[in-house]
Amino acid sequence: MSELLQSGQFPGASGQHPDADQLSAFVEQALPAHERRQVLAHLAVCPGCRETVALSLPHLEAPAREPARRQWFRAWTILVPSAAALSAAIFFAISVHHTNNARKIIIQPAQIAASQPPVPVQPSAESPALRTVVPEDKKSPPAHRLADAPAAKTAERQQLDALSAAPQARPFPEAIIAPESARPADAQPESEAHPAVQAPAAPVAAPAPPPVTNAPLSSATQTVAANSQAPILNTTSTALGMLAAPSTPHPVVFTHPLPGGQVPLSVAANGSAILAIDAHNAVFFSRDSGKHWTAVTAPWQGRAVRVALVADRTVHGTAFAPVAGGMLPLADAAKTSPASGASLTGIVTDLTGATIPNANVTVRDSATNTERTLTTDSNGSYRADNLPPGSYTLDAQAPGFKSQHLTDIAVEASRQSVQNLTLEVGSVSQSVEVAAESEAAPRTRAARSKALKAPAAVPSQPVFSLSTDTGEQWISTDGLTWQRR
Amino acid sequence: MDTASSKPGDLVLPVQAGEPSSTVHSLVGLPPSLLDELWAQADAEPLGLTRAEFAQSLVSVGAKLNYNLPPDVAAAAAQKIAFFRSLHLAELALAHACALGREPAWERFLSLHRASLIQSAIAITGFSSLGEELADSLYAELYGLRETDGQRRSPLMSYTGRGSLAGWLRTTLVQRFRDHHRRTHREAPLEGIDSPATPAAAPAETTALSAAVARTLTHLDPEDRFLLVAYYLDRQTLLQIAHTIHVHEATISRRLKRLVADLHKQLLRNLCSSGLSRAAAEEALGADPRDIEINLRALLQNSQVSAFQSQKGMSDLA
Repeated sequence: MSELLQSGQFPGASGQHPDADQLSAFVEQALPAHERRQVLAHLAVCPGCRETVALSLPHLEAPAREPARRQWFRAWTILVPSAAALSAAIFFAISVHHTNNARKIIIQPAQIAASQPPVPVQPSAESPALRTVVPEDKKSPPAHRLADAPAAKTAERQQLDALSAAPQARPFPEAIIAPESARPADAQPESEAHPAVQAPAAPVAAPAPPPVTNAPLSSATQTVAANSQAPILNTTSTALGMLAAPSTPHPVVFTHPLPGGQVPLSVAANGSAILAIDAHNAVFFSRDSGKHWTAVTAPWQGRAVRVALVADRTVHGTAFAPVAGGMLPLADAAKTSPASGASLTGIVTDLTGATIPNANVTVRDSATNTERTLTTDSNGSYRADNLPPGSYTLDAQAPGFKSQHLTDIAVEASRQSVQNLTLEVGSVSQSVEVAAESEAAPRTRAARSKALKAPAAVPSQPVFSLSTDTGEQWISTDGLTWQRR
Repeated sequence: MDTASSKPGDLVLPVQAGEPSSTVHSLVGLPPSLLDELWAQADAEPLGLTRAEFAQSLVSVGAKLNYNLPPDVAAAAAQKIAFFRSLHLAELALAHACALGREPAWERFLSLHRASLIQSAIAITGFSSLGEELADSLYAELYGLRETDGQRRSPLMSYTGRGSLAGWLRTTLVQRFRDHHRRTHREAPLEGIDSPATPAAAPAETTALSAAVARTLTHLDPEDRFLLVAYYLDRQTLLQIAHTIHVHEATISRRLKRLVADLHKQLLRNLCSSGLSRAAAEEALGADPRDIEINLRALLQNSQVSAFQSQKGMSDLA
């Protein structure tokens, strides 16, 4: 092939090599066309002249070029990933720093609302108002839901609005959202996008036993299960303390963390009064929504693990209401009681004064003949809440004791009637019938009507309850002085 | 630098120095105005070159190159004028003045081309010492230390001024380097050279293909032929070929692609004209391309023995 290409047996091929003048002129395009053609034809067959032409090209005389310096910005191609990683690390560190320095305590306005003074609620479970609350809960803010309730108070709603307005201008990261139920989707409490928050609204239609079900209750407590869920607070520390209630998607934000900077484990709020336990089990109390905290001197032996509200009403329609010796569904309670706030409590003892646990106490409305069976707890106490005002009869039975029957026990609205029972040793078939009157019951009809017209005021009623890891239960009215149950 | 003007081996020109301008005009046949114009452009007077010598150089260059016209074409006056104006007159005067041994010309030559000559030599050889040696050797050769028939002979007399003097020097350097390489490589031991294998008898089916290839390549255009050879046999890059023929390398690529396609078609036509059907011709083209490739490589290696076989003048000077 190459012989054919370089044989010179083609038109225009020259038998002699072109001289240096011809080749240089060829390289510089200075040859006439016919001579250029001849040189090209010769170059096609003469590798030596081709090499000469190739070597004599002008670029060969150029001085050896220095190795091209790498442009300085090429180093960025290597630095870009490292810079990105460094930026991510810095961002992460800043986020962690903010998270550690700032803490948010999520509180739900309903929890605060629950701690308000007793609110006369309409017949809750039976009333259409409470039943319509549940679907509306997913569509409207709880403040509006509360406003729909006929018994909601204006002051309470204003407080809710004030509290719920705080996080609007202060978005919080999802890391601070309550992990179990009260998890706000974002910082816009008025937004409708709060499925996680609305879920734990404790609807009446789907009752679920709250964690407080197994908690021991004394006869003096008046605790609603929803309010015992103080740990619904998220336990993450944020820049802002936030408390979240389970029955409302409106988290309340207060901007003052706990003293010591620890994560709040449990928080109970009663209006602007907030009782909180931090990660070191120290108890703090605040009267001004967390602006100022006061350390609570611990009279208990163990470590405080949970705080809750004692004073509560059926505002939230919580599925179960703990009563002495058991749980009474609020729906049932609502059926028998118009949520007047009246309650009947007492202690069942024997003749020696020893309490009788697991005694059956039957509370029967003399007017409607409806009855409610209770069981005394380990302290021998029983409690019947939400009783309609009226006259009741009490039947107490315990194995090895004679049953006792009390009649004409007056229960008045918004009052807590106390009726202790003393059982005598004997067979179950034996019974003792006593015509008794409630200690707190007014003796005359005039006094009874006066009591009905009197404003609801329960002096020195415990507000906060506290549980320790040793199982102790403590109650307090002001959050600072505590009494053991 | 020794002066060359007073030496007995000066070049003999038909027009003697100091001859009147009219006589010069009459001898070279140039219009006086044109000669004055060319003389002014050449700036040859400081080089020690006379007007008559300059005019004679022009005449000799024009006659040698037939004024850039084909050999069988007589140049008209306008063509002559255009030819003279297209020359590198200053460099032509410098080269011829140096060839005549004029001291001012050599001084200018050294100031202008000495450094570039050494630089080009180093670039061509790839070695500093060899480049300097090559440049010194060429410088001595250009100075005319070699005499033929009692007269100094300088390669600078072959410079016609069509290209630049620097380009001419580079090409001459390459030729000298190739001569040097050829001389030194003759000392290679003979046992290291394998005797070329006796070509085996070509199969009958490839004979037709070879004939068709021969016919196809014979009728190739010289530039296309050069492209094929430079690209496929010399393995030159597109950039090198583009620098050689002053065409953009993309154009070289396109031309090569088109050229190969045309060659394929032409080969098919030639095979068909030799009596093969188109299918048989395509089968012959694609039957055993590796054999063709192997043959090409073998032929390429054997084709380099004829380099500079008929170079005249330069080999004598080397």
